[in-house]
Amino acid sequence: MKAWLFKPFERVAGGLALAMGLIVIALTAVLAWRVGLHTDGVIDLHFGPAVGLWVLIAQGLINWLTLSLLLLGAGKWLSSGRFRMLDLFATQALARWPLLIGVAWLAIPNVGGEMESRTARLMAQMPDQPGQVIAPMEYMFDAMWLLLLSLPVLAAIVWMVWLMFHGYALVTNLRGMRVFFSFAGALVLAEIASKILIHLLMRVFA
Amino acid sequence: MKRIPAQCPACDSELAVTELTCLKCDTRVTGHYRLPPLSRLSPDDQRFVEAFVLSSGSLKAMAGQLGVSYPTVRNRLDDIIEQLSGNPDE
Repeated sequence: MKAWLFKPFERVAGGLALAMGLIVIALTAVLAWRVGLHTDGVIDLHFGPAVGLWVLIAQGLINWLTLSLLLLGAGKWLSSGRFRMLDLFATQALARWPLLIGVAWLAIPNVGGEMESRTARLMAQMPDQPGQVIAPMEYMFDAMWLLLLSLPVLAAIVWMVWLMFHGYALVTNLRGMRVFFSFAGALVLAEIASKILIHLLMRVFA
Repeated sequence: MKRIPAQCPACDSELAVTELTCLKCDTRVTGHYRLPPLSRLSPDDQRFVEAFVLSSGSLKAMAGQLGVSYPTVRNRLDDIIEQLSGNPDE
């Protein structure tokens, strides 16, 4: 069970993982669209204005492809290059499944509603003049409650990043510092690139 | 049949063959002969190589048989290749 949760790619990769991963990306997009969530970055998940379903699907695909392509480049450069491209793209697609759990958590009506209303209350208290107190103590309860409700989402994102790393390390067979730093670099670049691409897409088509 | 030990049980260093015996006339030859590279692998790795040959070198078939993914089998093979190429038979 532990292996399936944290090292699933030792058991599944290739075409099956790719098919499962694409289903996960599609389901995440549909559920996020229904509850007004956005995934506008490789590791981003937050509420936002209502948009068409195609935007959420495009966000999911851009996030997956951006990171996969950067990891492919890093993997081909650093390893002997004897790995299959299919395995890398498949593991990166399936690695996104904890995000579906995060979206499902926020789709619970009370959770999503509470988070939105408490965020709005806190934002309304933000100071508009320099030197003002950021938030009076009476709003600390809101902040703590917001943090508590966010914890499952944060855990899901950490889990997703771990699976992305595990997939990359297993497929490329890189070890030590090389695998850690190349993954971290690709993740940062992919986060920036995906945000830019999604922003451009919204400007062109919205 | 007993398996050939590849490592010294006392210090883990490589073992070599120092005597060979003819099974018919009992002639004995002494010397210093290194074990073939495959015999120097761990029993687990030897079983893996055997399964690899028996599956006609199909990593996909092996992955199915072992219940693991293709990259897992590929990595295991790469590790064995590294061991074999790091221990050239001199």
